[in-house]
Order: sequence, then C-alpha cells, then structure tokens
Amino acid sequence: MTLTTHEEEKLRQALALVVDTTPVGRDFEELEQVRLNPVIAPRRRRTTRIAITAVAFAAVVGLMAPITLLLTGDGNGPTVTPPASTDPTLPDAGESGLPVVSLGDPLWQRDGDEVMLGEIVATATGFLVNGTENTHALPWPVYTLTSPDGLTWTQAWAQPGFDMLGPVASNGTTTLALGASSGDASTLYRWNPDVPTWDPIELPLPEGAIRAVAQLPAVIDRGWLVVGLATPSSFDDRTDVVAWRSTDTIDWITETIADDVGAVFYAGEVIDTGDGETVVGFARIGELEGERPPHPIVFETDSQGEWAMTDLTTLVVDDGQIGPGMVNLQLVDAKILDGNLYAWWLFDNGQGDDTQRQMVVTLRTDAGTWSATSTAGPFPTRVTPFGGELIAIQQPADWSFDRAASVLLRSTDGITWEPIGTTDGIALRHLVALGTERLLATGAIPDPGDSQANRGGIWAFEPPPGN
Amino acid sequence: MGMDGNAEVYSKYRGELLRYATGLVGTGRAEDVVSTVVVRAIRRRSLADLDNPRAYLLKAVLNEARGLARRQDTFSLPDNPVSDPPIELLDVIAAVWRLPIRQRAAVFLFYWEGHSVAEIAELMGVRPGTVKRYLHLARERLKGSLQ
Repeated sequence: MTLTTHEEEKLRQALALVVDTTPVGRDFEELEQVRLNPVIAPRRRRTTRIAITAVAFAAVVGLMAPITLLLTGDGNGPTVTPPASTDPTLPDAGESGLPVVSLGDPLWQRDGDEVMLGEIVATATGFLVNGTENTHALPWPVYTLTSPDGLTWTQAWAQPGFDMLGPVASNGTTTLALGASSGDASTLYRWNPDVPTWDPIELPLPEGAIRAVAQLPAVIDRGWLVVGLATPSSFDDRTDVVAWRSTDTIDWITETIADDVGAVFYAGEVIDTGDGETVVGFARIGELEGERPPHPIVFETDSQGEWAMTDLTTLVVDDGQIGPGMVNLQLVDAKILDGNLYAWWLFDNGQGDDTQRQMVVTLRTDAGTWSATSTAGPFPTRVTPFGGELIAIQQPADWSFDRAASVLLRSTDGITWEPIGTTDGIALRHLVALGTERLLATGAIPDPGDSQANRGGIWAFEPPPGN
Repeated sequence: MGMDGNAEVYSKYRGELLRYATGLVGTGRAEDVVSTVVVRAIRRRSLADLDNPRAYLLKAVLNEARGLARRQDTFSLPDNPVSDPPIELLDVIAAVWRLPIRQRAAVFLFYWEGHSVAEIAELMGVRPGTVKRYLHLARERLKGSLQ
C-alpha cells in the first residue's frame, strides 16, 4: 500500500505540528549531575544494582555460590531412597588409576589472571562463549569468542567497560546474555553478530512494579523466557518473582511466577520440557542471614502462562536423607535425558578442609511426577547430554594447583556416575557436544607460581568410552 | 573519556533525539525519555567511544518510549498531542497517535526525517523487511484519515 502525494503531504503537515511541540530539553550539565547523583534523578525506575551484579557474577562462575541452609524436612514427603554416602575425596590426577584424557593443544588460549570462560552455546553460525578476566584494575575486561565450527576461535568483541556477561542462552538464530557494565545494574543483551556487539534489551516493568531485574534468560519452545525479580514498592521488602516471555526478543509480556517470596531468590536453571507446553525452573530461595534459610525450589508453567512454585525441601530432605549438618546448598545443573528432567542439588556441611558433601537428584518424569534420590559420589559439577548418555565434569574439591585436574564422569541414569578419565593439569569448567564424536570444553590451566595467573582455554576431545 | 566527549555528542544529537521522542511520546514526556536514555548511556560508557552514537541513542529512545508505554497503566498518550490543530489535520494527528509505537516510529523516521528503509532498520534494530511491514500496516491505519 502506498500513499498518494496529497496524502503524504497531509501526513507531513500533521507530523510538522507534532514536531513543533518539541521541548528544548535539559542541558548536559543537568544530566551529568543526575548521573553523578542518582538520588536527584527524576527516574521512575531504579535498579537493584548490588544484588543483581552478585547474581550475574555467580552465573559467570557457572554455579550458584553456596549459602547457608538449614534443612527442615518434616518427614511427610514422598518415599525416597535411603541416605547416600558422602562425596569421596577426589584422587590426584595420575593416582586415580583413571586414564588421562589427552585434550591436545587448546583451540584458543589466553594467559592472564583468573581468566574464566563461561558456557559454550551453539548459534546459527557456530558457537559462542563469553570470557572474563581480572586485570587487577577494575573494570574487568569481558570478551566474546565465536567460532564457525567449534575448532577455530576468534575474539569477536571486547568491552572493558563491562563487568561481566553472565548467563547466556541461544536458540540458534538469537543469543541473549545477562550482563552488567561499569557497576551498573544487570541488563539483558542480544548478540548482534553483524557489528558485532551486544545490544541492550529494555524489558518492560511488570504491572505495578517500580523496578525489576532479570536473573536468567532461557530458550523455550515458543521463544524466550527471562526470569527475574520485581519490586512493587519502595516502602517494603516485597519481592515478586516474575518472568518475561517473548517470541522475538523485541516484544515482551510479563508474568508473575510468585508473589512476595520474602527472601533472596536465585534462579539457577530454566528448561523447556519439550512437550510444547511445560517450562520448569529451578532456584534456591533463602537468605545468607535471616529467618528464612534457603531451600530448593521448582517453578513450572504451562503454555497458558500460569505458574506454580513448589518448595522441594520435603521431597529432597525427607527422613534424614540429607544430614542435619549440611548447611550449604547449590544447584549444580539441570538437564533432560530420555524425556526426564534431572536436577542435581549439592549440599555440604561447610567445614573447610573437612567438608562433607551429599547430592540429591530430583527427577521429573515426562508424565510430570517428581521424585528425589540421594546419590553416592562422585558428584558432577557440570553435565551435558552426549550420545544418549550424560557426561559431566567433576572439578577438584581442592583447587590447589598441584591438583589442577578434572575427572570426567559418565552416567546413563543421572544418578550413578562412573569416572572415565582425568584431565591432568587442566581444570575444565563447561562442556558441550561437538557433533556426535567429540566434546567441546572451556577450562583453565593454573600457573603453579602465581595464585591468580592462569591460562584460559578451549579444547575439543573425544571422551573415553568408560566400561 | 569523560564529560567533554559526552557533552559534545549530546549537543550534536540533542535536537534530533528530542524531536524523535516528541514524535513517539509527545512533548510532555519527551524530555524525560531523552534524559533517561542519555543518563543511562553515560553511566555505562562514553558516548564518544560508541561507533555510532546517533544510532545507539535513537534506538535507546525508541526502547525507552516503548518501555514507558508498557509499564504504566496510567500512561496514555493524549488524544491529540497538538493543542488546537487545524480541523483538517485533527484526524490525521489522532490516527498517527493511535499507531503502535514502532509503527509510529517508522512513520516518523520515514515521512518526517526522510530516512530510507535501510536506515530506519538500523535505527530501530530490526530488519528492513520489518520496517516495510510497519510502514505498510501504518499506511493501512492512516489511509482513512488522510483522504
């Protein structure tokens, strides 16, 4: 459809009248004062900078940092298996009797201080991974590496002003990440490979909220879901758990997952079950110090956008399955295998060198029923589906450099894990399948002479077959 | 990099940003939108370091305007942003104002600023085909008031 010359002219006359009302605008000095002193800013929205920065950092590390947990099972939950043993001490590489997995030369490497590469995601044009590094001087550099084939990597983007790029998710054509720049609050970013750069995405405020922050982007069957928190009022501590849903990352609708959780909420994983309707998220809810200790939480929705949140404490901690001294909790990972959704929860007693660990696997079958099982060690720290099984990294409990190694684990049921090899001298952090034969991994080689220096790298290798 | 670079960029694009914001949300909110965008931007980085600060800021203005429209139940554009317009343009202005904000942005950039579809696509962060769709839908909506 086109407009006639007369219609165009009439439209321009109308626009001219609107433009004629353009205000003068504020002087830059006034804006600079607002920048330097946000208190005087006439802003309707403010962000919870400190909290979300911490969340984003934890996500960059790859795991939610453990926080104090007081376990309060009431003994009335579903039947679970008997208590499991604690995590065995990880043997030093070379003393374990396991084959040493040759990772070969790194496909990409970078020497520095605390070089840390995040999760590798597959995109339409290959793979993408974000990295961070401590330069001893803030801000930390953050960079994005891309690869067309998983084997050739180049630094596609770097922004010294960024503090971090945290959780990342890609549906192939679009990649989103949560990031924070220069101490600012976290923002959702969309990867723009043509520039390349990360473009900020402005999420709408949920209805009635005065501020909101995103915690975790995830790919779902019908687009995108971002989980976050919203604060309805500046006069109380109420915090709602909310979700933003979009099919194109441009138009977003907001949904309420739970009203007023009343405690610190960390979304750890969000997974689409693949049935076309159900999305399940895992989180830890609780406080470092406070009356409400953290608990394992699951929240799920159907295609109608109705959410239900369930405290898994009863299911996970029932009948002394986890000992009373287990005071820390972290969600290790969550993955789907054979239509079943697994989540691995790791507890420990926070006793330093004498730390004891226990793991519980929660399983959601494709029929929607939940169960929990304690597992004997070894315990995985990152898990990836591979060849119809699960392959996992078991990081050393002690990151001292003479033990810089990761044990590779294999599982067919998500509960029992078989050690299949070690990576002598290399501590792996994330895994993803590279085709059907190989794995792609990020990790680091610590420098034995410097407590902070290391060499970050990416490797591709064939995992040992196991027994 | 500091204030001088930021001030220079702001000074250079201030008029265009305010004009665009006025076209999107009206004169009453244009200043707030532009101020918000600029303050947020200079908290994060030096505007002078951006490859294309104009495109960045214009895109941010649209995002802020869209967010503003969504997040306030009470927010609604005035029926007519121009007080006492000529009677023959009253319906046109009202029709422009009723357009979804991205269609309104495309119309403003195309028919007022005179940008090409490709330029608008860059400024809006969408594909050229999407801009064409916005313009097509907008023309359909405006057609009646323009006759």
